[in-house]
Amino acid sequence: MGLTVRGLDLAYGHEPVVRGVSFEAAAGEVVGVVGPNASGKTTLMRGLAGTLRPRGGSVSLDGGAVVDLPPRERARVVALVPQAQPSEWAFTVREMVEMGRTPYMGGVGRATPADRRAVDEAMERTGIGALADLDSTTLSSGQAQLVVLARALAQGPRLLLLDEPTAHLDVTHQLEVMETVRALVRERRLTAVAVLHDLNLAARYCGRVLVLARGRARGFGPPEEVLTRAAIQSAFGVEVMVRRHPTTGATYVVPLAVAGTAGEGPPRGHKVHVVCGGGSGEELLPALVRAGFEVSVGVVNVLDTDFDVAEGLGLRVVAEAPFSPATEGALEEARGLAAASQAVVVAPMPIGPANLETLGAARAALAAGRRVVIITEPPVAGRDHTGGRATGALGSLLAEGALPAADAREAVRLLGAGAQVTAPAQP
Amino acid sequence: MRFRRRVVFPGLAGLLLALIVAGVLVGNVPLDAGAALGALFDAATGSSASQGTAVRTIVVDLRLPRVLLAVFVGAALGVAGAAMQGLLRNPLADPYLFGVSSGAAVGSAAVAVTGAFFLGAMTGPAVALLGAMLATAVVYQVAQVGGRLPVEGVLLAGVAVGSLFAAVASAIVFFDPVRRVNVIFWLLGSFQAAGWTQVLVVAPTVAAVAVALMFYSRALNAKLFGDEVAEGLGVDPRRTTAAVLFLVALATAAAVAFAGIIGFVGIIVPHTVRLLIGPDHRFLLPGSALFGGILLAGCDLIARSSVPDTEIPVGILTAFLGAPFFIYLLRRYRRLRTWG
Repeated sequence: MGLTVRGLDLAYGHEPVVRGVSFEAAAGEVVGVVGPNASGKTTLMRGLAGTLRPRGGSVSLDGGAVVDLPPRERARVVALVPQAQPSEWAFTVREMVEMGRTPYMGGVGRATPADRRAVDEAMERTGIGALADLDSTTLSSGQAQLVVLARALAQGPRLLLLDEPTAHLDVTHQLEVMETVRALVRERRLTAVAVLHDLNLAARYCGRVLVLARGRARGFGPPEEVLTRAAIQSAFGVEVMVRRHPTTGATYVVPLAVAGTAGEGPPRGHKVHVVCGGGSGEELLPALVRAGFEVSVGVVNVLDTDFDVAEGLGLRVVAEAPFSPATEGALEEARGLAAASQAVVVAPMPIGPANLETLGAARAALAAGRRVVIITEPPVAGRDHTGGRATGALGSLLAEGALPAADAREAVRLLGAGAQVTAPAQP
Repeated sequence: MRFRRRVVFPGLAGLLLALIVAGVLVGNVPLDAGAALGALFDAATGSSASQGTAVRTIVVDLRLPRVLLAVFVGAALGVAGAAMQGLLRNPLADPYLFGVSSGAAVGSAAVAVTGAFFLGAMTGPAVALLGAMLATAVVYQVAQVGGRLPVEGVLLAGVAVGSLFAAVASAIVFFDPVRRVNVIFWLLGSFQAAGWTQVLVVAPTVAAVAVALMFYSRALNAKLFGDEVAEGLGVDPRRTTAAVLFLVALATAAAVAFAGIIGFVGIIVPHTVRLLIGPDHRFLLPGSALFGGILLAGCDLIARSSVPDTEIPVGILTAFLGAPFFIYLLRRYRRLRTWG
């Protein structure tokens, strides 16, 4: 049971907006709909609500077509939760929630005990019971959103359709609204479909996610399967980093740059190899990707933070087994990547005997006439665990023409500024 | 709001009653208050004690129907404005500014000039209704953009179509060789022509419209939050729009047929009532009926008692009140985009 959508075509006039979309949502499940603007999300919601008749395909809720119900009966089965607008109308919160009973009450009739019970319950369940007598125009946007949610609940629906219910809310209220929705949906075995502009909220609160682009489904399934780097880039046209959150376990997405529009950045295909480890690349790697460089990384160990970051960015990584010194094969590969790059950046990593040799990539690049940038803060003295050999190695690289940079930003700038020019000799 | 409603409704009802009594007592011919009230009481109880006296004739046959006509016309225009504003989510919507009044005027002018009372006393309102519906349909078609009615578009279309219909109505009246209708009084509105016949046509029509609109009060409440929300709450937007616009046209036709074009009542009344008791149409509609009655009963009282031996068209007074009110709303609406 729940919602089943098969080959749904929706159109305004002759303008097809949603084409051949299929997915389903079970009772007790929140399905997220994500997609760039004008991808047909709102139109899809109208199709699900039964207020826009499908051009083709079908929408069925618990086996019946919502679109065939008369408006009042439809409103008892499907409830909409639009993005809350600041209320212009001096209704009390209770009166606002009571509007959810419109499909039961008719034009003038008084509220029956059943109506009052539904209103009380909806307010209590959304935590706005204490606001009942407040003027709705004085509410914060978070409270206003909960009022709209309560109004929808008072309709006693089986299907809850949420259209960007967290837009314009601060983080606390975003989480509050989504937590409330998820708990309600589970508790009452409702079926919910939520358009979310925030991929991370979708990943965290939705059992399954539908990715929509240009009116077509680009993927449907659990967030970790659907919200991949490649899928997001193709649907939204943005470079992102996809990782798994260490505490919530949810997939999360960090947007980096609009794909193919690196602005004043380097020409396409400009390669940079990064020598990092121990989390020293956490800031640098996304910054380089954002600036439009094609980045390779290595050698780093699997389980190293930098390995996760690089993987999340979809970068080419020369990896070594966890907690092991770099082997000659890996070092060779890294040197090869460095030599094939236009530049090499050495991140401010802790250097011990196990990774001292990874600097060889920088040496090889310098020898090949490539630009090498070394981030020198924090000073190497504090992270040299090789008894001075690391300090010496970095010192000689600088002496041979590597450029010092104070931080990741300066490093990116040094790469961007004279990216095409050969490195000037360092005094 | 609940508390305010408990004070405002009895207050408005009391004020209306006081104005009706004042309207009966005040006029060109000074009357002894006791005798006038006595005649009123006799008429109400069916007593023949004062039968045939001048006092009773003035009170019962001249002043009372005039006051009541003003009350019912005010009520009609008040509820019509309130319903229209809620329906179109447009603070500047009103039967006068929407051109509905002018449309009705064409119909009733045609009836007045041709003298074709094929439906008896109902002919004027019936043909006025056709004109009102025609004007509504034209404005709606001109102003709508993809099924929506933008505030400014409605205003401009209403003014344009309203002017055209008003011109047609004026032409009909002006070129009537017999000059059966006083053009000035008719275009600016007046209760000069009031009699029991008119009251007996207008009162039940207005009452029926008001009751019918009450059945749309929850739908109108939902519509305040946009068509999408209203639809989600089970309100059929097209049916509601068609029904409410028809009822507005009917109320306007009844008002215009016997009192001419009285402007701005539908603007002044609902906004004032909203300020007093809030936007809930279950209370706003009856409140607007009461206050509309008060406004026109009051204006008519001033219109016929302020200048000796003559009377001012009542529409001049409502325009003096309404136009500044309208300008205030226009500015307020632009700044706040809110009109509660």
